[in-house]
Amino acid sequence: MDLDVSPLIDSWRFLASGLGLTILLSVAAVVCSFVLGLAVSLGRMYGPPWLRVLLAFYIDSMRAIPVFVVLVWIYFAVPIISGYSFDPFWAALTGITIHVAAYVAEVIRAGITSIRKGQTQAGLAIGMSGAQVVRKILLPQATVRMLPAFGSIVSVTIKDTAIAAVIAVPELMRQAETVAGQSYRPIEVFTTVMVIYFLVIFPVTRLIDRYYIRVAHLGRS
Amino acid sequence: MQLLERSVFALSLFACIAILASPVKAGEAVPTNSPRVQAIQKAGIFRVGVLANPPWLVENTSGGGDQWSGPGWTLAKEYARLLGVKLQPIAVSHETKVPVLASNQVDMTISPLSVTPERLKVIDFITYSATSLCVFGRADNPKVANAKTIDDFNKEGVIVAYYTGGGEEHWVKNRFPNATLRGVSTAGTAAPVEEIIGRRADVTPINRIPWVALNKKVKGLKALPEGNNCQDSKEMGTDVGSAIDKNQPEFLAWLKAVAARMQPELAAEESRMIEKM
Repeated sequence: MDLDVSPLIDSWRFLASGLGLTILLSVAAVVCSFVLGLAVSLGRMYGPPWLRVLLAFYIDSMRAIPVFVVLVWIYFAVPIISGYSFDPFWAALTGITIHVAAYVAEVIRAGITSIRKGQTQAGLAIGMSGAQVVRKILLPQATVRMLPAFGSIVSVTIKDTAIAAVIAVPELMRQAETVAGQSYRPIEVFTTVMVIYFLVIFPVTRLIDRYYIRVAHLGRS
Repeated sequence: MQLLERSVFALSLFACIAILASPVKAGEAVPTNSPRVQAIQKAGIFRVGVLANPPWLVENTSGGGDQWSGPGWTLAKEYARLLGVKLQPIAVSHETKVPVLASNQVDMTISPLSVTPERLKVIDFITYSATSLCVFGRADNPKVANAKTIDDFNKEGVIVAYYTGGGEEHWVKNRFPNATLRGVSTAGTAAPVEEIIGRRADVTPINRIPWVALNKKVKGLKALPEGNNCQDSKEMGTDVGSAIDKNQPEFLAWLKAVAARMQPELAAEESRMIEKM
């Protein structure tokens, strides 16, 4: 096989800029989806009936629609409907956030409901409010239990950013496509990109797993 | 009084020189009745959709120097200059380079597009180049090695790959009705080279211009029609250019007039870009 890595060497800064944007988009999507997912989960568990129905519909919808479809819809349909033009980065961040937040919401709900009811009753019995029970008793324990699932969600979110190439976000995959297209070296370019994604995602998931092992005992109830 | 007369004369002379020196010809006057032009000038920016497609639009991936070059970029810069606005490149992908026009996310797509009947239904073109197709495959594939003409691929047992949504799709379906067709999503290259190298397809079409660079960089391929490295191909002769959304007659007429005036410069630049490929 005739391999030529010179296009990678010539374009390393171009690819590095894509990697930077991938990391930025990943971090932003993880943070935003966790915040939104927490709000959705608490709303679904403790909100009024009409809100619970609405949020259940949102969660089931996002779990039934591929993130690719969500991204493309946000990028094309929102400008036509609202007249407001979405920058590709913000369209990608919005699409990934609202998609991943649905999964985060379900993970949080599962984590909270896994805590024995006696703890909630005990908290209420000593005069804590419902919000205090959730904040000081349930969430700290549930968070530890949710760590493995959160690790998976972080990993999936980082990988989902590659889909943003379809709406021309200049992240790593898109930059790689440009280099491959102009150099006619797809094997070298995409193999390198695959290795880069592995080097980014593997340590993150390992770190979360190791942290979970250290704090797992705190999640027992 | 003499000073006033001299001043008027000097001003008139200056105006004449300015008009004669300006490269704007009749028909190229910026249309004042075009809603698109008004919107561009109000915003102060001319948004152009960009996606690298050598030799017409090349992206600089070295990290230094101008990011974009090629005839498509040169023409866009001229448009921005004449409109008196800043040129803003907006990245598009193969999937979005046409839909972004209808959704008003760009004013023009300068990522080079081949003129096809399907595209003509939804967009208007400003063409400045022309090209045709080659068909290539692995030279060690007996179906390719033994082929003498492109017609030899129009038979059962031959797999022809093509990019779905690409300019060649319509041609592939009409040209090879007896072969097995394999539509794939683009991976950013001018042709699905991976399908050929990976032996998932026997042949695939490619624009004759990027074939020159592909043939230099990837060994072991063969293209048809043979002769002059496929540059004399008459298969799917088509015009290539930039595009705008439909129903903008004043804007379109102006864009075409400017492109016509710049044709020699654009052709020369295209030749230079091909030599560098």
